[in-house]
Amino acid sequence: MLRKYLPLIAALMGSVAFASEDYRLFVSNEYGANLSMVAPEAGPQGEVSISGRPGAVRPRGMALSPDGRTVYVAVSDFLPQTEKPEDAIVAIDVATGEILRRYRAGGNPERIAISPDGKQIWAALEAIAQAVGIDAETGEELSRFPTGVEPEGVDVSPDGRWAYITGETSHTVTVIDTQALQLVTHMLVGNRPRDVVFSPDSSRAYASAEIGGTISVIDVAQHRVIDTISLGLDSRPVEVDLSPDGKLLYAAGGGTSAVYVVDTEKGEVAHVIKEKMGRRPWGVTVSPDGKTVYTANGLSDSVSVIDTTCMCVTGEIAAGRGAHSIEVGHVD
Amino acid sequence: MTRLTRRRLLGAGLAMPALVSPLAAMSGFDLRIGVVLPLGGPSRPEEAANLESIAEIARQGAVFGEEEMQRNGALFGHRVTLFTANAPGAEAATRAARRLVALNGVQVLVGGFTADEARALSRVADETGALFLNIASTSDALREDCSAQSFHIEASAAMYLDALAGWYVRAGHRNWVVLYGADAEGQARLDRARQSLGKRHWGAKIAAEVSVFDRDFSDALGAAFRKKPDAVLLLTNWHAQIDFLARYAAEGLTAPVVSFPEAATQTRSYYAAAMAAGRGAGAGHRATLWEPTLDAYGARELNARAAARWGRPMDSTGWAAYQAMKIAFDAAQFSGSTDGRAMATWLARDGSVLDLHKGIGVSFRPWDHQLRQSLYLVSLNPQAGTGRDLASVQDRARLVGELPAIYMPGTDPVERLDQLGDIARRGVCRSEGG
Repeated sequence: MLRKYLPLIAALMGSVAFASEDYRLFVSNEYGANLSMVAPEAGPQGEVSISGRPGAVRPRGMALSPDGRTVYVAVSDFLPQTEKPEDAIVAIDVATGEILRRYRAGGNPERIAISPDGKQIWAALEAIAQAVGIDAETGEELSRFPTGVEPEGVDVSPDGRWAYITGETSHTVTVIDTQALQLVTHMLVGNRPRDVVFSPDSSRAYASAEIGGTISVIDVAQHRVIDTISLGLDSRPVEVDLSPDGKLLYAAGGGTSAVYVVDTEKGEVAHVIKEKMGRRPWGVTVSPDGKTVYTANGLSDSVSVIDTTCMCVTGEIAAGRGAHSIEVGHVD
Repeated sequence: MTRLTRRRLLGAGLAMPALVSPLAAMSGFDLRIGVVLPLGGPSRPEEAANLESIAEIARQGAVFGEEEMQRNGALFGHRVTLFTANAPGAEAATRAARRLVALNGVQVLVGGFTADEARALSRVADETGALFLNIASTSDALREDCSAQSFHIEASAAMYLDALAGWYVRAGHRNWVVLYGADAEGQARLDRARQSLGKRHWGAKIAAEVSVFDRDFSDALGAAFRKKPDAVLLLTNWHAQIDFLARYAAEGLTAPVVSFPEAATQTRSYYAAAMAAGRGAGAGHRATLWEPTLDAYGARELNARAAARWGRPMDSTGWAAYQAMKIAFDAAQFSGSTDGRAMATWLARDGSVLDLHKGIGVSFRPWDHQLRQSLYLVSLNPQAGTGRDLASVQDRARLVGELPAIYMPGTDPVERLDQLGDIARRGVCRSEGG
């Protein structure tokens, strides 16, 4: 999701374009209690241990700071009803893999997002049906809001106005005004929405529905679903990401070992990538130049590399146990 | 370390102004659900008709479902209210259901712990226009009768028998002795078992069929001894199953006993009783509707929340009752109406897909209103011990299989789920007189 911050980074860096060696992939390994670091060209670059209790502590959703240099990971445990110190958001330095900070986030944080100014962290607290905003500098809780039962997907609009949070059992997206810290509304979307992503211009948002097999297209100005794109009943989309120009949406089809590519202007599926895909792709992310898509594959413990020119899998890189999510961090 | 439970966090949250949705005051629907439970009274005898234990499990599942659907409903100003009635037996169930509709205004009836109770509630649903969700009766005849207002969350006998045949025959058990109850339900199960074992593609052979009356197992034990079967299929009611297991073990017979999984047998308490009564014979594999150790597809979170709510694993009937609440809520939400007929129409139509934490979109078959779904195979654990804490109770069984397997990319999901049960289309379901 680095594409969201590309304009900001370009301004900071004098419009320097990314080269492939500029970034590093981070993969959260749900059953390994660690993160795999991967260089796109050179392969695995080691691991960041989140906990010494693999199988008990589970890193899952991730988000990137606006400058791309810090990756945040939502960490919880396998006892969702009891808050433990492991229920946290962990900040990691992309260049060194060093853990910089832990933010307390009780209630089993599953997925997270960072505001474009880097000042707010938003998390879906899966076990307690709430979304929480956290001040990234002080670590203080800004506010909590009710969501549907089993909230999961989170994103903050690139203009910094809204946080959207999906509710899996309620089939909803909850809208929060991140400036006023107020609940705005809830929207019905597809069945079991897993993830949501804003377009680069903040005009649209796309929510994946795992059981419905759909992508709900949301008009952000009205907070209203304006279209529903079917990926097929058994497509089971989970994590989603957009190309830097917002024209292509990539949806990881976890239960079908496929990636669905949606043409967002036409509102239809443009490609389905299945051949050579790893098993149970759960996480998906697009490289800053849009030329490559990476998936985190939970059953094959790997990263699939997709060339967006041919829309085909060109490689597979080893990750850790139970690869869940994947993000692209900036190294320079 | 402070142990902060979900309930504490939710309780604290309710005191925070930001957690009170501004939408809660908006006008939403008022969904009223009545659950008819054979809880009985303190003096009920221990017999097959006493279904108090699973009635209580169902009550807990329904309350848990009500709480979660209230929370989801509050997002849009909807109200969800559960009413429970204690009514063992078909006649009492009929009276209770009519009262729930007339006095409490329920639009949805939930129950059906025997075929007679399910049929009684189905009739009340037809009379009143309420929606009926069957959570515990496996009767195939009930599916064949198929009312427009009745839907079956519990798997049918045909589905369970197909699943068991699939697992056991593939594992090499070809030669069977079948024991069945001397009542109409027992005969119906036998008829369907013949299909599962002989007429489908499994290639199994039934060496003997023995009717079991009351608790006279002499003929059954004689057949199990003489025929030297690969497995014994036990189709009697739950109470007779326990008695038979004790006698079978006492005779020193060793062929696996495959028990028909009616709802009362799908509990951790029953597993302990079966293992205690039948030793090795009671500790085999069982088919289940739900399994509290299932940890994929969001099931882990659901099971954890349920266990935290009640301090015990969520057994199958608790899951069915929970999902009845969720199905009713989704039907009201997506049909835009709490009218029982409108909700039934929505549930029966093509394209209505439900998420019941089994990892795949499920739906009701239009021709018999049976829920298409996966079933699970569990292995009972004789080493589980006698502890009553959550972990020890949970440890009495372990998940070992899923049928149909849902992870089959490239296949049609409806066809995949329709591998189990009677799938010959028979038109559409109609209400009595309709």
